[in-house]
Amino acid sequence: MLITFSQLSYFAGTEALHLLILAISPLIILVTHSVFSRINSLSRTPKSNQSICLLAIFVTALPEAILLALFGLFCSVGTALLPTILYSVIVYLALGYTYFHLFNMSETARRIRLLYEIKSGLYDPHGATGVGSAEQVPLMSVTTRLERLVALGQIEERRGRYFLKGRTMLYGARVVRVWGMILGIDILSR
Amino acid sequence: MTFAPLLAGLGSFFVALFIHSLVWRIRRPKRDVLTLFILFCLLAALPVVLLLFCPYTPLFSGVERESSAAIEVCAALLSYGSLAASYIMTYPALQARCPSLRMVLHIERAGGRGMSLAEVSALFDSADLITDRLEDLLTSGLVVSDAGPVYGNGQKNEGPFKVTRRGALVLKPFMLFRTFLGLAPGAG
Repeated sequence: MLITFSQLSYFAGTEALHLLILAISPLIILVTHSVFSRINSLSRTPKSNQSICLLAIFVTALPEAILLALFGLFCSVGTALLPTILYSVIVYLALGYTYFHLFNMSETARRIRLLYEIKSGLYDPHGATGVGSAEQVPLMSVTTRLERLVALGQIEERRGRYFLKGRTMLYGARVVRVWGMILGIDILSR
Repeated sequence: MTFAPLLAGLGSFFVALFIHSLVWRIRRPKRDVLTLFILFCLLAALPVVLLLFCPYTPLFSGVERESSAAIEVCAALLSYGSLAASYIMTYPALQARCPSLRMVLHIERAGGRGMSLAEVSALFDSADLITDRLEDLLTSGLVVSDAGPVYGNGQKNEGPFKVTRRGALVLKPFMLFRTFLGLAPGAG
């Protein structure tokens, strides 16, 4: 199919715009997340911070999908549509996943938490790792993590015992475990 | 857009993963997260090289869409970059044997019996949750202590610890990030 130079420039321009929007999507997610997070803090029954982050990622996907639809509608090169959609879905999910992990690091990463506590003078070796409360702090961390897993619908509590509920995190954990074994890291070892 | 940028990005990502697994099988680097980051950055030229060998790419196949060659190179780099970033962000969870993932795996193993809080807590000890991470911070130079490593000569180092300039640089974006989201720094 022969196309004119002006059509070519139009396609190139549309593609460039499409790529640019994909590339800056983490920034768009950040703004959406900030709005949702503030609304959530005002709510009487606030959702978990991780749920709000996931919601922001999925809501931000909408403008991207609309752009893709417009791109498909105006671009006469029909064969370019399928790779464009596939490309957009994979790249957006990868960027969204990266954003989610970055946020999760700010929430749960022990290294970041320790850095913050040492910097702010809050770190107490006897409180965190000392003999006096050596059981207390790990217990707190375990409780917090269990609460988060319940909030995310991955496990449930019945009469003081925890049971598996969702499968998403389990599948993720299995993949991480297998990959860890390939790299020589056993995540189940103490 | 053709399939070429996606294939080049995916192909390069899997080649990078393969090289990473080979290196780690031989010997896991001490500063593994940093090494991983450098490895993926060094291989960032790979998508462009692969794009040259992908059939039907505008770089090879014709005048018709030649002007979008630069865009396809950018697209290949973006796909590789996004996949690499998602892996680099996942790796610390694996390296630190993420407690949440371990909990899910153990609860699944328990099946219909489930697990009590005490049973889940028994899977971890303070070294698991705190001391190992402190050791990581000292090894990577984000924190310093006059008394050396967390454990040395059979004695536990209880500080005082001090965040280095590099540590403060790592921490700052996270604090700004949380402030922007309206969340308290250090909470969570």
